[in-house]
Amino acid sequence: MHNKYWATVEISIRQQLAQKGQLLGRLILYFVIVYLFSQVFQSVSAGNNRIWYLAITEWLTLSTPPIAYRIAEDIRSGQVVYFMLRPLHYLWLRFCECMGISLVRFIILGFCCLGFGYYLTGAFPSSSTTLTIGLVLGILSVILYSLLSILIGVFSFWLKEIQPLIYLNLTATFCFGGLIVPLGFYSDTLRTISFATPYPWMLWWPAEYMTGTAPNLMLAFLVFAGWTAVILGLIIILYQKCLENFVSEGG
Amino acid sequence: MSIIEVKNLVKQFRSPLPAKGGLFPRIKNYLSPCYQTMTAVDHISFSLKPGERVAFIGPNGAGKSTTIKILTGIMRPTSGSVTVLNKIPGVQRKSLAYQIGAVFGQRSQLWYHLPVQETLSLFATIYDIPPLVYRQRLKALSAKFDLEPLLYKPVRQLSLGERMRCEVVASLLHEPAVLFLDEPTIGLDITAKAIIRDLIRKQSVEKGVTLLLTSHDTDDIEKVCDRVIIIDRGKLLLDDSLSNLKTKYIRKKVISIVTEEEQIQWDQPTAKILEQSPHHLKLEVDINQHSAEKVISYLLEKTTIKDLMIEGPALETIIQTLYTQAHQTEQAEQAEQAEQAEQAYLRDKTDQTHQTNQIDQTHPADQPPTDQTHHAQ
Repeated sequence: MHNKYWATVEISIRQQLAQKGQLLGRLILYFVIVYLFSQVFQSVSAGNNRIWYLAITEWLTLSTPPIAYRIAEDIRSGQVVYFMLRPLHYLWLRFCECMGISLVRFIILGFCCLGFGYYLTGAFPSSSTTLTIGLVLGILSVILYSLLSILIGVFSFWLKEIQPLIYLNLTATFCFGGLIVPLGFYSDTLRTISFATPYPWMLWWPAEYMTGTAPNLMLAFLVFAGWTAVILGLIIILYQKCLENFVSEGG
Repeated sequence: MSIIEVKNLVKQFRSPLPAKGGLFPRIKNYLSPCYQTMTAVDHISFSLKPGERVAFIGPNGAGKSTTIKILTGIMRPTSGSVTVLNKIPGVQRKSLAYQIGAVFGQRSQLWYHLPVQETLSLFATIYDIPPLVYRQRLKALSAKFDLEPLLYKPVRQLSLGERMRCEVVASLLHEPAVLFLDEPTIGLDITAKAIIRDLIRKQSVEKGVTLLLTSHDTDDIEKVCDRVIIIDRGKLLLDDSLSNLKTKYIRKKVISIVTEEEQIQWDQPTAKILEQSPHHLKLEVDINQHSAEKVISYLLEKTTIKDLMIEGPALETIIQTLYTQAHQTEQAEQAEQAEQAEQAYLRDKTDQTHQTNQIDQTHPADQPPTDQTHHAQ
């Protein structure tokens, strides 16, 4: 049974590698964003750690495909019908596809992050051990971010139009996740609000860890696991409800 | 024994009513919309035997796709019962998925940027097909569907006809007992359509696959199916064999003849002249009233026939006639109901007036005095 899902991961890796143009576009976007903001950071003498923070958060963000769009499009176009005819769980199929795409992007953008970060700062952010643990954290962050995206996508079974939710998620990632500016720059109130959401654990925490200003690793793991369980639970419950009242529109 | 059993199937949807009136009612309707219940499938019953090839047809919005989605377990019925291969599709969707296949003409199940073979290999894993069996099946299907030159081409480089052949193979790879085909030839050219139809029918005959085909193309129905189920506005209009459908509903035949004589004088009431030109005559015979044989005998007596052709109306015309008849019947029923309601209303009103008059006449003292009577007193 697990083999089916792994086969989906494999085929999506191949599909992503076949889309060379899309990968190149993403790399260019990564370099442009990191370069522009690194110039801003350098102009205010923010230090090398901030540039590495920026490079890492952008790496994690650009590694995750917006799977919510894909789910919404499946439902809008009726393509979901094909997937639901398979002896597979539709959402896990999409999740595996997301993981395959993420894996390719994560590796390629990861090398770019290390190379470009080194080029901009002239040094690595931390020791190789910290970076290795950071890599694991990065993978966990991509998984959590994908699950959140799937949760948003599930709403399209009811709402049909989930664009506002996607924007809301992007804004929340930007603000609460500390996408460009680390949470340390926030006011206490805003920081407390941010920590009550899953976003900091997806971006701020792995980036902070890899730049050597790590919070308590065990606590962070527990919070991460907690959020994963909550989001996963919500996905399972909501999807079950969706299937009961699912209406696939159009012929 | 039935492979598909549908009993009293009903599927209703809730849809918001459009807002009427000024700004305030519209805002109110936006915030708290009123809903109406629409019946997409209305008490449909039918069953399919193993190996049957059935066309499931109807105009747009008739409820065909909804029924197919219920049969495949994607949607759940509002009421009624459905069993496919002794399974309840809505409940046992995953286990049923191993035994059914589907081809949707307007959608693709192939991975767009990858060679076809990659998707087929993925499906082999998804359907738990052992590698050796997969290779054998792929070899057989590739030979039959002429896929060998296409297997290693990315899907994006295939023509629609080629892609559709691959889609059908992808749906047959796990050897489903039932194959649902939703407009499998839509958008294809004549040659590609003919190939797809032929292949689908052959596969069904050879492997005993039960087919349920929806299509607006009557050639698909004629070339692939043996039985026709027609639905309209969610209701079952007809369930009969294709040959019966043709026999029952063909009322007129057209006889075209080419003669040696330049002019033929036709004065018989048995047939109506449709076209007449030198050496050519086209007649229409109402076969419910006169036999075509009688008309031909008369023609043979009167003239020397060089060529003769008898045509029945196309299946499309028959189906069109059925739809029109159904709509006319429905309209007539609605009109009758409206008339009955109006008559009942008028009858009630007359009864009420009659009763009031009776009360006036029998118990004048019980009635409150009118202003006039009051003043008179």
